[in-house]
Amino acid sequence: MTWLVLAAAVMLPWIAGIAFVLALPRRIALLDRAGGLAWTLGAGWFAGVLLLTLWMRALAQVGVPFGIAAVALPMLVAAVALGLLARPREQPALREARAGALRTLRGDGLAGWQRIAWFTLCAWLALRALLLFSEVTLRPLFPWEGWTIWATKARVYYEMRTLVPFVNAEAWASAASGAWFDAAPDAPATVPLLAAWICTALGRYDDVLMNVPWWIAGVALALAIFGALRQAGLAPLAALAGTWLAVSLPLLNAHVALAGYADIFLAGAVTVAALGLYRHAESRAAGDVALALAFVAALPLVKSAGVVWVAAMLPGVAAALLPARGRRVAGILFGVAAILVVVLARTTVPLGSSTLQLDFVPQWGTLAQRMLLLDNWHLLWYAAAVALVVGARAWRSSTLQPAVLIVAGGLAYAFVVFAFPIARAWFGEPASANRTLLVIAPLTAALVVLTARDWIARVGSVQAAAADPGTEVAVSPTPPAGA
Amino acid sequence: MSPTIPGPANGVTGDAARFGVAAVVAVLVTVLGYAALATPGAWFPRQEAAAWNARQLALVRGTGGLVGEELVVTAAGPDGTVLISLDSDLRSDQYPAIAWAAIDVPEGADLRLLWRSDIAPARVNSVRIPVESGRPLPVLLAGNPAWVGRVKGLALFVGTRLDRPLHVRGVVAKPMGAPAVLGDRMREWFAFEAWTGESVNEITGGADLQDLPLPLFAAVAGTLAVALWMLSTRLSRRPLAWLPFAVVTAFAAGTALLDGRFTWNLARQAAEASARYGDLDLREKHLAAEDGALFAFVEKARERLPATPARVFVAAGAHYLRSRAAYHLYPHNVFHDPGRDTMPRADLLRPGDWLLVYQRPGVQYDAATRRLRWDGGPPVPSRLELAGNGAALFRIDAASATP
Repeated sequence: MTWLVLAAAVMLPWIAGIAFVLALPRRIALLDRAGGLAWTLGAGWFAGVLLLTLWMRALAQVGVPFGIAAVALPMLVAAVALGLLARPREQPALREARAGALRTLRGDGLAGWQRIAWFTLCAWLALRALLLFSEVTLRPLFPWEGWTIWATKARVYYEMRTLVPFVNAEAWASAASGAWFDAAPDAPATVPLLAAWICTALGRYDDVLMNVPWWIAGVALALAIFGALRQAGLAPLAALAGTWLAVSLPLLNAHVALAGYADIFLAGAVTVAALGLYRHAESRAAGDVALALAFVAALPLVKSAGVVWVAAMLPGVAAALLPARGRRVAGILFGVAAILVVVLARTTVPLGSSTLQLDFVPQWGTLAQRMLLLDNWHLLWYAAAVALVVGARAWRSSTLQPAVLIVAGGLAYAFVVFAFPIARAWFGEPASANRTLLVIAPLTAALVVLTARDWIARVGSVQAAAADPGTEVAVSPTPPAGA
Repeated sequence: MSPTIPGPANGVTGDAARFGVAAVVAVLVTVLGYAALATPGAWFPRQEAAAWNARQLALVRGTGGLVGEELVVTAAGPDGTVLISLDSDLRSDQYPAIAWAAIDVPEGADLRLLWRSDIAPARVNSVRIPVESGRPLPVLLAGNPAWVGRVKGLALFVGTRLDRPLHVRGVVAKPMGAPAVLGDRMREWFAFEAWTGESVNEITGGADLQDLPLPLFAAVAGTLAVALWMLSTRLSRRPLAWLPFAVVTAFAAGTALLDGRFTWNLARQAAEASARYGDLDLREKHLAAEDGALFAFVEKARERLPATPARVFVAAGAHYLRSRAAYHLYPHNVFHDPGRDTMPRADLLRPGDWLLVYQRPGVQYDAATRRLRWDGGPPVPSRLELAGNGAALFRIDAASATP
């Protein structure tokens, strides 16, 4: 019974999110595109989490206590309404999308080593998912911030059946009652509300099963990346390999297995937003850009540092929304940010009783160790360096530009919090640069795969011009911006 | 839709085969090159490495105990230091290196290796152990004038108060021959990496300390394989059109190697979690967790606390225990210092408030006068509601709470 309730509790926001993604405006059915179904399922989870927690915030605002009926019924109604809205456009494509997904899963059209590789990768990913599920459903909440920042709120929200204020030590000491305290009272409520919802559905505070949404987040991220790569024109095997590259990153897996942190939801939102902008550059569908912007806007609701992530993503967003002037706007934004950092590093700005100054204290050895030597990221950052060399020229004129600029913005932000320790405290970032890099790592992996695809296509084109056509290679070049 | 474009005109199979050969050569060259660089003395010494696990270590100073395969030190001793020792009997000339396996060493800690030899048994020698990312690095002792004779005892000294539990997994004395060096690397790469508090910040990929991390090995071997393939292709005057495939293949092979290792480790981790928590209900899982004793005490404390959220102050010497106690007490209105070991200010206490103290020295309760005092401060009227092993729950007296 517990498992049924748990399944229903996670399916509720997921279905609502899927309906939301499908209902967004577009001319051509989302499910009509290769990878459309996988993208919808993946992006739908993260959208559903936002919808669910926004609704719970609304309930708290109007004083309705959290309960199964108060949360689930309106969400179901919303899911049905959104589904009905999407139905005329998406219904005709649904059957073929399902059949196509089954054909893809069965490896139809693949032969020889490609077929072996397909099933090996499928089995590899399935095994990974199984092992992570086992970890998530066995271990009580384990990681530090999980029980000092996030689950503290989740438990209080669940038991009090509403949002209650968390305040700092001074305010807590002076408050009469009704205000709680923990290690990070300013942390936003999205992740705790999600956990509180699972507990509400289960009818008890369960700091094992409330972590299942973290596992779903890992699965959803894989689906979204696979869908985006398929839509970008990659063959199923190449898209699956790219997905494996992105979701096999050890630190990402650690954040699934040791559920409880908000970082994977931030990574999911940033990845889906960036890939949504990439889709928009190709599809020009209003729905794609609306979804991307919704995720960008929601970042501050996921983690305090989300505000800074919005700023880090602005150059990429500008490049997506203003294809003609995007690069110039992005250049200006990067320039302004760089000047601001340099000014703050070189001067001391009086700020009330304290001063504002950035102390430049980079630890390059530690950074290199974390990115390149330890197994946090497998070979991702080596591959990113190669991609920079072989793809830099193509990036400037391709539809990849927004994603490239978002990764660049993320890396710039990671550099600031790494090189200026005081910035970490301002932005609420942890001491480990890895957690900052985690937010852009899945997107970087997808970008590496798309760059490799372009490189292979480019070299193949050159070769084709110089010689007779030979072996067929299932790749397609990225169309130019605005195509 | 996936439009197709022509690939390399011909010789794809030849390119792949040449790349395969280049990859094998690259791996061999990388392994032998590393052995040449890393072996300090003879390539083939006779003796084996000597290792001691956590069960063979003695916690001489500090608070803690064995948890699984780790000695977990939760707090330093009264003088603020930790000392872990073991008996040994090593020939110093055969073991030029000592490596402690530990994590969560405080930043900037004064960490030392202590040893005694049969040449001067009364004298304790020491050498500073460098710490990186909370982990001690191996210490090379060849050439140290005190590393002579037979080493009769080793110890790890931490001269800094702990800000979180220190996990010590063991110590290894190394002869450092070429097969041992390469064997060490293999063991380091495939050593079980259990989840720790640091795992959400960092995945080492095997042992805590690695002289040659597997990602670097894979990157170097992969780069060399591509370079050798390019060289052979150029020498045979063939085009480099297969280069992207060579790079992608090298990268995919390296990633598969690394991810295979990670998956194997994850499977072992899942098996361990299953053995520890499988078939247990939620309460039993908490009792089986690292802080099971604390959970058991807080569980009893919760029975004494009112049903509606009450103000509960929490104090504990160790950061970890303080924060964990607070976590287990929610949804009560818990207050603790997340950063430092402090007791609540007496003026913050109100009648009806509660105070939970767990393994925190300096707190005294006078049962006769029902007065509680700490750190030399004024006495606070209170009642002892529950007492446990190094733990207590007090209710601030309603009649005369704040002095």
